[in-house]
Amino acid sequence: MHANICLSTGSIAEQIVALEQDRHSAEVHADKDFTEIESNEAQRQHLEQQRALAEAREEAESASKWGSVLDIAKDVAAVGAVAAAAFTGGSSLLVAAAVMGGAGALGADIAKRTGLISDKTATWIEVGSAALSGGAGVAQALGAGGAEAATETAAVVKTAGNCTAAGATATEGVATYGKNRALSNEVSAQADAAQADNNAEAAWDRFEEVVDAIRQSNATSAQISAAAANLEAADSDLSTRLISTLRG
Amino acid sequence: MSTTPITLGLSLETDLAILQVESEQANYASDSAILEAARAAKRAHDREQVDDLRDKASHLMTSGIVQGALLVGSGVTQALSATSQYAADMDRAHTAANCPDACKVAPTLTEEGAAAQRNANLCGAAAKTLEGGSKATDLAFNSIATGDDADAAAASHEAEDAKCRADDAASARQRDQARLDQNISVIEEMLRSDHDTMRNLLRPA
Repeated sequence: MHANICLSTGSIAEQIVALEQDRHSAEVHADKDFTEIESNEAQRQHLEQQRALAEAREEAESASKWGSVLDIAKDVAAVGAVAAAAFTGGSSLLVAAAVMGGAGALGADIAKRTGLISDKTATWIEVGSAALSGGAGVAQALGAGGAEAATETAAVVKTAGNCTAAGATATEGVATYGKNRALSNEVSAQADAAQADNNAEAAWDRFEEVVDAIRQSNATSAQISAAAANLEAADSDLSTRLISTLRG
Repeated sequence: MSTTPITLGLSLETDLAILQVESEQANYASDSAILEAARAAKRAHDREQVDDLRDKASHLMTSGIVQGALLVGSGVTQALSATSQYAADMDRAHTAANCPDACKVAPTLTEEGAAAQRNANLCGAAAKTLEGGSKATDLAFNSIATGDDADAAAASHEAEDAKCRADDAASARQRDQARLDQNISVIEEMLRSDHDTMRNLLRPA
């Protein structure tokens, strides 16, 4: 009889509690490892994000410097074109178109940089100026006016202006490439930062999931322990009662 | 009178509480699924945003290469045009200096001078064409970059919406968990109460 009582719910409850404690302990231990891993991952991604943002700032500065070079090159090219156009000779209409084209591009750039007009307006003025210059150039190429410079001085001044404009245009090309490359690197670094931020967020989500699992595991374990304690108490009570009944 | 519920084990209130627990468990599972779906949607939109940024970076680089090449080409052809034009102009000046007065008004070119003039005109036209191409490329790539920006902004907006949904689902899940814990506590209390009642009834008179 005594053996039966020992093997009854009380001892089974104790064994269940012991098993549950083992399981709970192992689970919490594993989950803690996971939280550490995810926490480290989030920190690593955060550092990566900071690095990418710093790189983006550096590239933005580089793009700004190239932008300044580009603006100066545009202005020099426009000044050279105006100087050359003034000594082009030939049709006065073509000369006027070439001068207006160069002066328009130069004026638009200066007005944009001093904040007198918006970037968009400046772009349209530059496009219009380029059309004037281009039209004059094409007309000359078709022989509509002949690019005549009858004196050596005029020829030298015109050539100097044209060469200045040519060098400035080539510099403009290099600066455009440099600026766009810097801008591209900046955007790429921003993408890296965004990616790192997303990865960090995903790591935090997983961290929260694991913490939630630990919380649930704790609650379940506490419930099982409480139920087992109740069972043990009831069993003990029953045993006492049976023994006292048997003793009469 | 009161033996029926006791012999059935649990009281009706306990049965009800158990049903509530099951309901809360279902709510918890449902909110967990919503949370997971919202997080997955956010991750997808985040990836989309990053892809759009990378597209923009790629387009900027391509634009830089194309525009840079066109402008450098334009500069080189401008320089060629300038040197040829200089040769033609000098030829014209020499002709004017060595010809009668009538010729000075409209000086003619030698054969070499005419060839230099043709070369200057061709190179000048090519330079203008390349420069125009560069500006057209600039406008085209600006338009593409603006589109990339708009796509990235839209993806960012969608990701924010998904984050809001995930936050709402997480809050709902926490509330479900709190109610679940409360109901389980109530059931424990009821079980204890049932047990006490049974023990009192079984106690010898």
